[in-house]
Formats: sequence, structure tokens, C-alpha cells
Amino acid sequence: MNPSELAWQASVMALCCYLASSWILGAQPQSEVFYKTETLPIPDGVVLEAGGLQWMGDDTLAVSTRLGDIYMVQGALETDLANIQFQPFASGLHEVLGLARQGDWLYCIQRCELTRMKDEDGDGRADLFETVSDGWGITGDYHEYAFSSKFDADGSIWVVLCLTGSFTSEIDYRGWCLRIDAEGNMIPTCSGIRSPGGIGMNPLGDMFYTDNQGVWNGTCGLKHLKPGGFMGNPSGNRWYELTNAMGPRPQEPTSGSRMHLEADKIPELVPTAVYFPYNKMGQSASGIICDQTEGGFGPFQGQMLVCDQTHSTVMRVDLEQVNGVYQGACFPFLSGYDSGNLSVEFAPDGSLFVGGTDRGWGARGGKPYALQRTRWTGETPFEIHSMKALPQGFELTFTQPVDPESARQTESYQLQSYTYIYQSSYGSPEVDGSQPAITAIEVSDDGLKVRLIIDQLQIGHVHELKCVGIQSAQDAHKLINNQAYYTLNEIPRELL
Amino acid sequence: MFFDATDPLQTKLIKPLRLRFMFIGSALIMWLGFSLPATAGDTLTRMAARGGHLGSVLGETMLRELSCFACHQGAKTLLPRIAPKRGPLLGANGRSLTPQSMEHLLLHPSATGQSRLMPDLFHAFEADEKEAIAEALTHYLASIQEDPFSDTTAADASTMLRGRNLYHQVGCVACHGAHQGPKELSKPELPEPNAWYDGNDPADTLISLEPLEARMSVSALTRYLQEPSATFPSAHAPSMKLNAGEARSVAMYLLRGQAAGMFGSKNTVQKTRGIKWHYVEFQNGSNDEDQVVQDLKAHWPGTNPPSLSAPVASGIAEDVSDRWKQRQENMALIFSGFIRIPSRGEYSFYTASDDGSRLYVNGQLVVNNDGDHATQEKGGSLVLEAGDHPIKITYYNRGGPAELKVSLSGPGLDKQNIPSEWLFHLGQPMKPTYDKAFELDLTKASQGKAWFQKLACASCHQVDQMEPAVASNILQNGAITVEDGCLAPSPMEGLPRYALSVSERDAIATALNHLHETPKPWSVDQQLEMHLLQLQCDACHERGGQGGPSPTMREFFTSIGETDLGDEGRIPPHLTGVGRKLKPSWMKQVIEEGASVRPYMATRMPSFGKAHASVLTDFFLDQDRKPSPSQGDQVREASLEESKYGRKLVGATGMGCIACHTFGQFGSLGIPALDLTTMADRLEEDWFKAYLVDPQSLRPGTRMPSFWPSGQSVNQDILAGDTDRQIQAIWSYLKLADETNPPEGLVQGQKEIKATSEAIMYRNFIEGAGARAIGVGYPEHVNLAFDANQLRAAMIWQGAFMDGARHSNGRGQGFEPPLGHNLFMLPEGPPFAFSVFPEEMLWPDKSGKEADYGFKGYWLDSQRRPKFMYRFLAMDVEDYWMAIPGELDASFRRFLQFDSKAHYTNLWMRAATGTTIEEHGADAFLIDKRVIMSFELDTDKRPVIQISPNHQALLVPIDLQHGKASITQEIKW
Repeated sequence: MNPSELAWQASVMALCCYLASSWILGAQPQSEVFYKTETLPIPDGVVLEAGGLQWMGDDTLAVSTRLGDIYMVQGALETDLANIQFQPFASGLHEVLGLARQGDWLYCIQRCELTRMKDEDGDGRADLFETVSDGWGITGDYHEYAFSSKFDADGSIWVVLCLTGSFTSEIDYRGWCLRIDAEGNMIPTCSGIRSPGGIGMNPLGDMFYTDNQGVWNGTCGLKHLKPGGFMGNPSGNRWYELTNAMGPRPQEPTSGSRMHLEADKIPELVPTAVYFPYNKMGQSASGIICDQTEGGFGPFQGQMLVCDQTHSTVMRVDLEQVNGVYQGACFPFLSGYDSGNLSVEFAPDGSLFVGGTDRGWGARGGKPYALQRTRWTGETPFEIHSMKALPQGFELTFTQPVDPESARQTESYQLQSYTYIYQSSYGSPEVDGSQPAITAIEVSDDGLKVRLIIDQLQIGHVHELKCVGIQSAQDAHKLINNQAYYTLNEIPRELL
Repeated sequence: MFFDATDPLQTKLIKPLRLRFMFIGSALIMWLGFSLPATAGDTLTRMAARGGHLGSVLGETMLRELSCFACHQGAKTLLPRIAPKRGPLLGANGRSLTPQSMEHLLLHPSATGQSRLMPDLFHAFEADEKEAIAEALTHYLASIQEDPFSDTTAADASTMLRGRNLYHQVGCVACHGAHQGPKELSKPELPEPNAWYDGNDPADTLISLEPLEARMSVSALTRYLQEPSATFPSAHAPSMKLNAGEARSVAMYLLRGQAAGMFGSKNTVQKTRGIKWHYVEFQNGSNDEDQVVQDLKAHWPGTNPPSLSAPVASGIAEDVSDRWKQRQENMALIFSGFIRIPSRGEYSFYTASDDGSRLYVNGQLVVNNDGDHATQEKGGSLVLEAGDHPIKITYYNRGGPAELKVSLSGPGLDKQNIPSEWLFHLGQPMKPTYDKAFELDLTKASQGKAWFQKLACASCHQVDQMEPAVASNILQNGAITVEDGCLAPSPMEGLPRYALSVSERDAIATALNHLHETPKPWSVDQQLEMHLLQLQCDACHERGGQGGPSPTMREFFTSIGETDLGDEGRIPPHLTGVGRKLKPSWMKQVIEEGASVRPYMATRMPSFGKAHASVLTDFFLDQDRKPSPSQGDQVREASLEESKYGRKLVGATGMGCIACHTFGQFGSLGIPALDLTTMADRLEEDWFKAYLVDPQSLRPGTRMPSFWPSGQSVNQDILAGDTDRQIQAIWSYLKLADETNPPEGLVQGQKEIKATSEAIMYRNFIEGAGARAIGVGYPEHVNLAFDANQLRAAMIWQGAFMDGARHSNGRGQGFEPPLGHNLFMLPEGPPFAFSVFPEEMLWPDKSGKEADYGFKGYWLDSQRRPKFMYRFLAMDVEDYWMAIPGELDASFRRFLQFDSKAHYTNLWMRAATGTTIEEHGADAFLIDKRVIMSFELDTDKRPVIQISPNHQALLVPIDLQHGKASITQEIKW
């Protein structure tokens, strides 16, 4: 075969491949059909490593940055983003990773304190800065981050504090969650935090934060800040000596154990509500927001959206309380953001705003910083809507009716379970793996629900389910994302 | 030499193995009687424990370990498999062991531990005969080696602690076990000699270190640790790449039993030869509590000593010179001890140094050669009585070349270096512990030499110029049982007796019986696995799911500094598929020299030497590259055009690899992950490309994210998002990459933060103002930093405000100092205190929250100048700073308003501290001849200068009237 023949053959092959792939693509809609992400143009000189987002009325978005600036952004909801305006509101603050608003006051968290500020002289810039609480310490280690929530129903702001460094807590309350009430009183609320990446509430007003893989954290996870709870990392437990608000210091966990086994022994230990399996879902869990758009952002009202900084993604989390303990499933959702997603907030019109930075922690997006807007197009994606635990299995709900034939096949599902070593050293591989058998499948008449009856659910395990064979009833489409990862802390009791 | 069949001794010692010897039960019982507790592990137990699945291969390896074929003859074709390991060298080039311990080992062969590889040669001799031979051998060996008692090492706890840390960090523990738990290791307390950590792996999987303090000197063990193969060519112990100082530290630590006085009541500190030296580096964050630093500071030329490190190294030297320095610049040495003057007279001392030095005798400064200068010599004289006199030499070099020479002259003594035999220090000498004295007897030594030859000791122990002996007898196939020959629990007279367990005997017998049946070649797998087991690679590295440190052992694998690299920063990499990963040239370099690219890992890759490197590399290639042989490095040259795309992809605007990876001399913008400039030299192209697409598949658990998830590039802008082309471009760039062409975005310049038309604020970690600093730059080019933790104005300076680069690059770690000039530090600690007699008061230490201060915030005026608001007890403070332009430079005016709910009296503000504070007009003061402070007070009370021995302080009254007071303070340079 001479070179020209070779080239010809190669191009025929390439053409065939192209035709084959475009045929498949033609049938299977891509995620852009459902969610459209646009990038806000950022003026020169503005380094918008967005750490906190807060709406100030219907058209102004306050954005705080890691470099300590706060901008008021106008025009972020316009169809044409070209006319967007950035107004400096404050500057020189210390790494602002959370914003909240109350009346004229804009609250912000700095590494060292919760601050509120307002513009008294009406020149568009804040001039009065008041320290609301500084009841924790700071030594000067760059790990000493602080993240703050929005106001809860009682008017409190919750603050989660990273350790001093990766492993230790060298000064007051590093590795704790503190609540600052409306009067500025500080209430120690949870211990056991390692390295938070975001904090937010579910629709019931319960508070959650993301904690990152490291010591005593096998992988990243979403954790429930249950007042009085110990979130699992004992590095900061010496600070029980500073407060009576939390009772006695909990028993030290045994390194090398499993979290659910230790939770049986240590009543204060709140098991991770949802694990984000390392690399499969992400590598640095960060900002949290609850979808309360009443359908403005698609069919996921009430679910939590959680960012991953490394993967530049937004994951979806469906939580439930079983036997009083939070648990649930996470699903891949939105991806392809420009930088490392850190902050996230819904706009009054139901658009999702995502801010990112990759400084110091690389991210897939590759851009040093970005602020982006994602809007639902009105088309419903074919997704696993939710996954709930049953006494003997799981119930899946889909966003569209499934083809019952495909849903009844055992081969349509791949199920495995695993957990993580709960240990004082860094991270953990997936361990104790099993492949629980699906023994029965029930499909609801409307095709929206599928019950999987499973032999031997594994307590304390992530149940990784891939619905590889599921097709939609209408177009025989595959799922946009077929994976679900359910963290099973508790098995629901049989209803009598 | 070959054995002479007519020599009666030979027939006594070596009998053909055809002898039948009935095994009797009592012999077994006898054997078990001196079989040893399972606490001491050695090569054989470890192999059995970790390599049980290797079957007959294991038995063959034991033949090597026991050096069976040093005496027996075997088929040449089998030699590589059964080649004897042999023991350590003896004599002048060998180990220098105490005669007493050699004699003891000969008479009481060890039944456990590594020493049991040495058999009992005299078990059949009568006791007196046995003792005579052992004694003669001992005298012979002692006559040809260095005297281990001639060592002049002095015990030093800080050196031992350094040795302890090295022992537990660099990797010794992986094979020999820990002496303390990870928690104890953070404390400066040495473990008792022979201490054993409870969390160690089972002893039979470790090679127990036998008590060494009776056997060798610190210098002999130091030599061994530096290069084990020099005195024990076939030792499995690799070189841990310890430098001379490190090896000495570890040796001193392991032999700490020789410094019994340090652990018990027996204090035997005495004057010992040599002068003590400490080596110190200048740096920030000095440990002022350290005695040596204090000492050096006390003798520092000038009034302003730099910050010094704790001693980086210390030791005992025979002369005074700069040779103990570890770097050229910003370092100092201090020597201290005694000089033993032989006779009364006038002595002159000289130092020739670059930069400064001082020499003291009897606490008196004799030579003052202070200051920064090129080499210059200065001298001084004094009359000294015969006897010992304390001597101290301090020396430093700030920049440029460094040199120190010290000499003296005296009665009948020309100018020369201080004779080494004149120098002493106080210290506990470390000598091998053996109560029994030994006096060399040359007659016995010559008898011993004859015995050494007769007993064929040289078969295993090479001694200078003595040829190794080889026995002529052949091991017969199929006739070997554990009941006769050397394998018998109680062998016949003349045969060596080995302390072996029943299963070890069985394994060896099985191997021997199969050895001559058409020997089945070992598979590469078996050879490789056996080799890894012998070198104990499995103690640190996992391969194919086997080996790697156990969970408790992992605790001893640490990172240097805080790298935030997780386990990848501390656990040595796995070796699964390493033959596909590493280029053979690099793999050889790693095994042979211990080449390493992970500077953050405390555990060191040892160097195993050329032979192992070449064999292991071949095995790895052979095993890992089947069945799909690698394409190897593409022949194609890296294209320059392609590499430009690669550079972009690696840089900040591409995939941002530099967010985590270092690049030659350039640190990354985040964690110090592997240096990108080493990639193309180390890695196979195929592996690299597969790794980029799916790092987890090749390195489970890695923190390296994929930027091409499922093969799809996350960057669609460069090379049209084509995965293959992007990865090829990165490879091309890395092949050409050097430090002259770093990726985009890596080299960051200064980012000056400027106040232009209004004041600007910078809240961050500011050096001198704490972790909660508030920097304020004024457009008049004066600047202020307020410490919101201590609630004090911390410092002021002129000119440029701050460099924002540190905190806006990477993770922004560390404290940034002010950028401008004329920095003036304001008092540290709390700003306010109560006193009736301010002139004599002791200013309190407690500050901030601890002393009931609280930060309340600030208000910014129309020019963004802050009025700080804070609280002390029930008193609110407003602290408002303005810059006042001047003809030459600007100054500060500060308005302090106090508003108290409680009535406080005798309240003072400390406005300044300094070496000198002088009155400078009405209510005006000159601080350290640099800054003038003046005050307007709303009271008749006046400021007070408080004078104490070390410093002066300026105290200003806060005279509350109806709860209010004010102070206006002006500060001019």
C-alpha cells in the first residue's frame, strides 16, 4: 500500500467514524440543550476570585473576592451581559468567603472576624465597618480560612473554620463551626471540621457544609452541622475546654476504623451525609446552594447544588433524613465552568451564578478566575431525579418516564458498594467493596419510579449505581448522567 | 585455598554429607531449648514471613543468605542463584569490632537475630580448647584492625536527638522498627537504649538491630552507616545517603547506651579531646531560648544581632576552622572548650577571618577581628599559667567568600595552628561498653591467624591478603535430610552448627534436594519478587497489591515541612507497572544512586549500587512490558512549534499545571508537586500520555486531576481541544523545557499596592503587625500597620506601601513585610496599663482578648482614612490617623479619643519604646534618635520616660474626666 492509498483509507475511516458519531449525537441531546452557561465579562484590573455572592435587591449582585475586594455588579441578569457594571464597594479585606445581607448592612466573613459594613454617606462605597464577632483565633497560616452562611431563621450566621494547616488546630476554635446570633453572641455549635469549602442550608433550614479529603476524611463530603455535633476530625477538640455550650469533649475516634462503626461508639459523631467519591465526583467540594427556585431552574426544587473546585463542576445532592440521620445521593450535574468553582448563588430570576478561582489549587477550567451564569432553557433533561433508601433497596425517581422494558432488566444497572477508612492519615482508598445483588425490580405505572430490591444493603457504604441501560419512554434516550452515589448511614425501618 | 585432605583439622571440621546421623528426640528437645524468643527478626524470618508463597525459591535464597556455597561446591550453572552472600569484612578495611564482643560471639553464637547467620564452629570442642581458639582468633583479629576504644567522640544529646529523628524519618524504621511512637518523636526526649515501640510490625518481619554499644565505636558505626557496602559488600542494608554529620548523629543515637550517664545517675562528664562547635544560620524566627544563639548574640559584633537559627549542626573538632560551615553566606560558627597550656608564658592568638571573628580566653576578649571584611588577621596576647583555660571563638560570614583560621604562638613555639592535642571540651566520652579489659598478645594473634586459616573463616570473612577458602565437598543430590550434615540440630563434630528453625531446615533441605534435578529456571516473576524481598523494597513500596508500609508503619513516613500533598507527599510511590513508567536509564539511577525527585518526602530512597540497579531494572522491564512492549520514546524529535503550545498548556492560561507543579528553581503557585522539568527525563512517553488522560488508573488515590476526563479536553481553545495533540504538545515542551523557558504565569513580579488619591487598606498577614494586621497606605507616602489582635498601632514607615505579590500568588502563605523605608516599630504588647508609679512599673505582657481588649471596627472618612475603634475594659477608644505633608517628607498626626463607662485612674498609654528616649522640647521626645513624638494632652499630667536596664519607654497619661480624655500625637521622622 503506498502512502496515498493509506491516506485515502484513513480518511474513509475517519468519515465513517464521524458519520457514526454524529448519528448517535443527533439522537442524544447534550446538556447545553437544558442548561446554558454564559460568562460575565470582567473589567481589566478586577481580579474577581469570587468567594462570596449576595443579591442586594433585584438587580445588584455583591461579589466578594479572595483578594479582599467587594464589588457591586449591575446588569448581571440582563440578556446581554456586555453592559455589566462593576462598582467597588469595599477593599483591603482579608479573604472574604461569604456574604449575607440584612437591611442596609452587608455582612462579610474575613479570616479573623465577621464584619458588617454599610455606606453611610451614600457615595456607593462602604465607610462604616463593624466587627460583629471575632471569637476565634488566627496565627497566620494560610489554611486558616473562614466561610460563612446566609442568615438562618433565627437571624444567626454560621461560620465554619478551617484548621491551622492541614493537620492541627493551633488557636481558638480552628476546626469548629460557630454561630453568631443577631446580638453578635458567639455560640460554639459543632467540632470536628477539617477544611471546609462552603456552607449552606437545606429547605428545612438545617445547615450543611462541605469538608475536603484529608486527615479523618476519606474523601470529600457534605456534612450536616447538627448543633452539638462532632463532624469527625478530632484535631480541634482541645477547644472543648473553652466552652460549656457543647458538653464534654467526645471520645477520641480510633484511627483505621470506619465512620459508621465509630458513630456507634461516639454519640456526638455525625456521619457524613453524602460522600463525593474521590475523582469520580470531584476532588475539592466547595460552595453549596439549595434550589428553591420553584422550578425556575428545572425539576430539582429542594435539592442541594454543590460545587467542585478541582473539576469545575456543580453536583446535585438529594438528601433525606432516615432514623434522624441525614443521608442521600449525589449526581453529576453541570460541568465545563471556566475556573475552579467556589461560590454559588441563585438570582431572584432563578439563574444560577457560579464564581471560581484556581489560585493555589489547580482546576480543570484553567482560567484564573471567573463569574458565570447558568440558566435553565426550559427543556427537562432526562436524569435520575432522586434516589431514596428503602428497607430493602432504593427507589429511583426519574425526571421523565423510563422505558419499562429497559428499567426491568437487571443488566440495566451496575451496583457496587464501598466505604472509606476513617483514619488520622490523609484520605483513604475505597475499601470493603461489595457487589450487592439486585433481586427484584418494580417500575411504577407512570414510569417515573423504579424500585430496586437489593440483597444485603451495606450500612456506612456508598452505593454506587450506574443505570447504564435505562432509556426514556418517549425517545429511547439514555440518561444525561447515569451515575448516582448514595451514602447509606441508616436503613429505613420496615413500615408495619 | 583448598583444604588439604591430610590436614587432621579438615577431617574434623568438614565431613562429606553422606554421613548418616540418626535423629533422636532428645536432640530436638535440646535444640528447642536454645531456640530463641520470637522477638528478634532477621533476614531468614522476614523472608519466611513475607515470602512464604515463593516455595522452593525461598529455600534457595536461604542457601545464599547462609553462604552455604562459600564452603560447599555447587554446579557453576547454579551459581547466580546460590552464590554465597558471605559476611562482613574484617581487619583494617573491615568492621572494627571490640575484641571482647568478637570473643563472645565465637564462644556464644547467637541463636536469634542477624548474628545467627554466623554458625557455631566449636560446638564439638572441649570447653578449654574452645576458649583457647576463640581467644587466639580474637587476638589475631584485634591485631589487624583499628582499636575501637581509640574513638574520641563525646556524647551530645542534641546530636543524638537529631540521630533519633533521622533514624525514624529517613527510612531505617521500615526495616528495623521504631523505638518511639510518632507522638513521642515530637518531644526532645531520647528513648532508653534498646527501647521498642509497641506499635511496630511483628518482629519476625523486621530485621532487629542487635545491641551495638559493646561492639563498636561511634566512628566505626558512622563509617558503616555512610557506606554499608564498604565493610560488608553483600549487606542488604543500603546506603541511606546520610552525609558525614547525619551518619554520625545516627551512630551516636544508636550507641546512646555508651553514654549511660545521660540516662541514669552515673554522671561521667569529663574533659575529652577536641573542641565543641556549633554551626548556625541567620534567618527569621530565631529561637532565642537556645543557649548557643544567646551566646553568639552576646558576642555579636555591634548592637544589632541578626536573627539566628538554632544550631543547624554541631560536633567536636580537632581544629578551629571554617570547614564545618554548610553554606558560604549568612552563617556563623562558635567554638568552645578548653585549651591545655603546657607551660606558663605569654601566648599570642591570631584569627584570620572573612568576615568577623572574636577569640576569648578565660572569658577575656583576646582577639577582636569584628565586622564585615575580607580576610584579615588580627592578634592579641596574654600570659597563661600551665593548665586548662576556657577558650571560645565566634565567627560569622555575611556575604561573599568565607574563611576562618586560628593560630597561636608562645614560649618556644612558632606561630602555628592550635595543636589538636591542646584542645578539650567537657563531655561524656562514648566508648564501647565492655568491662573486661583486653591487652593484645601478639603470640596469641599469630596462633589465631593459623586458626583463622584452618577454620576457613576466610570463606565468609575476607581479611586483607588472605585468600578465601573453598571446601571441595559437593552436596549430593537427593541425599540431604535435616537429620545430618550442617542441617542437623546437633551436627557431628567438625561441622558448623546453625541456629535454624525446623521449617527453615526443611526449606533448605528441599531446595538442596531439588537443586540438582534438572533445575527449573526461576521465572522472572520469582526472581524479581525474591530480589525485592531480599532488598526489602516491600518495606516501603507496594507492588501489585503486595508490600508497602503497614498502617502503623505509615505513621513514620512524613513530609518535610507542610506540603499539603497528602499521602503522595510522604508514602514512597507504588511500583506496580514501574517498568512501563520509568525510563530504564532513570530507573537505574534511582536504584543505584537513590536518585530522587521528591524533595518533600522525608523518607529517602536508598542507593543500592550498580549491580542491583542493573538486575532489577532488567527484571522490571521484562515483567512489566509484557505482553505489550512499549513503543519506547518516539524517535520523533520534539518540534519547537508544538512545544510552544505545550508551554501555553502547562502555563496559567492553559491547563495551569503550574498551579501545583514546581518547575526547576521556580516554586509552583500552590503545593510543591513533582518538578515538571524532570518529567521527560524520567518517564516513558506512553505512560505519561496515558497518565495525563486518567491519572487514577495508574496512581489510585492521586490528587492529580484529569484535565482530559474521558479523553475530552477541558480546554477547547488550544489546538482546537484535540486531546492527542495537546498531550503531545505538553510532552514536546517538557522534553525541551529548562528553567530559561518557564511556563506562562510562573514568574511573578512585585505587585506594589499604591495609595494614589486616597488612603488604601490592606488587611492581611503583615510581618511586624501580626496575622490580623490592617495596613494603611496614605497618598502622602507614609504608611501604618495596625495590629487588630493586640489592638495597637504596630509600625509606621515611609515610601512605598506594600507588595501584594505574596498574598495574590499561589495560596498566599506567609507574612509580607512593609515595602518602603524608615520603618519605625511601635511598642509591642498591650497599649494601656494602670500604674501609680509609672517610672517603676513593670508593663504587663497580656494583650488582646486575654487582657480584655476588643476590636470594634473602623470608620473611613471621605479620603478613606480609617478611624479605628476598639475597647479596653469598659473604655472605648477611637484612634484616627492622618498624614501631614511636610517640606521634605510627611508625618503622622494621630487623634485618640477615650470614652469610658467606668472611672479609671492612673491609666497610661505606652507610646514608644527604644534604646534611648530623650526630651526634645515641651512634651516632645526623640526616640532612638530617629523619630520625634510630640503630644497635646487635655490634662496637667505629663508624659513620663521610664528607664530600665535594657530599654526605655515613653508613657503618656490618659486622664479621664467624666469618662472622657483625648490625646493628639504627632510623629515625625
